Amino acid sequence: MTYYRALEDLNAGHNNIIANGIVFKESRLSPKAVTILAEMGRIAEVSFPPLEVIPGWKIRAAKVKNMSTVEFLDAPNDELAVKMKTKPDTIEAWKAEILRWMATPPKEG
Amino acid sequence: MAQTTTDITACDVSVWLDNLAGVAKDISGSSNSVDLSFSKVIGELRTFQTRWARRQECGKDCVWTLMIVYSTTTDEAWHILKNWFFSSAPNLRTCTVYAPDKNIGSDMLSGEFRLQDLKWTLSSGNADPVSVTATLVPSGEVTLSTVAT
Repeated sequence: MTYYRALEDLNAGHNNIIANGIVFKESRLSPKAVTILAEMGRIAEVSFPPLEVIPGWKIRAAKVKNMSTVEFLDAPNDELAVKMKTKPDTIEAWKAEILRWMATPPKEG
Repeated sequence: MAQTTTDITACDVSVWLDNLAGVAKDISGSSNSVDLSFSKVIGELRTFQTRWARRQECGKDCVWTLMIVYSTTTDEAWHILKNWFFSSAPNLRTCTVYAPDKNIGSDMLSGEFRLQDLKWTLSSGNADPVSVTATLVPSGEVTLSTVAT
């Protein structure tokens, strides 16, 4: 799965706003929208650093050796929970933490 | 610097306004102009022995002026606006403008508005369709986002 950063506030319908700077999974938008918005420079593909580089992730990363950050984000929570000896909810929170860390701060005004 | 090739026209702009039931209605077919005027509140300071003013900014505001067609069909612009003024209790309604059109990648300006005034002229010697001007002022933030769906 590819991840993108919103370079402007995006309105994905029904008050579903993807705020400027947020990193999101491409599946939040239709393939057509992804193609057009990428061409227009409204979204940009994100390259993630390895898990062990993310602040506070050295020990966690060791539990999922050889897994890239994108592979981690895409893997089912229950499988990761078994590997990392924790709850699926915790895995979900960790995934959200990575995406928050990758987001750029909200603009002022 | 290369000349732009992505300039737009306003031909396919889409304007949506809530009706009395709070349902967004496309009033593009019964309106033909929308004037979007955005402003910032600027404060000024001038002291002795300086020539140039110092300025700082604070709030933001806007006024939207809709030019609509006086028509007789339910849920067209005039029907919604006249009911808003005459028949409903004071209320906020969502108004949204899409430019250059409503497709993916277009700008979407949206906010909650109050109807400030309605103006029109009925002239016996004029064969043009009657136009009505409506002034909307926002209550709260007016947002700009990109259509992504």
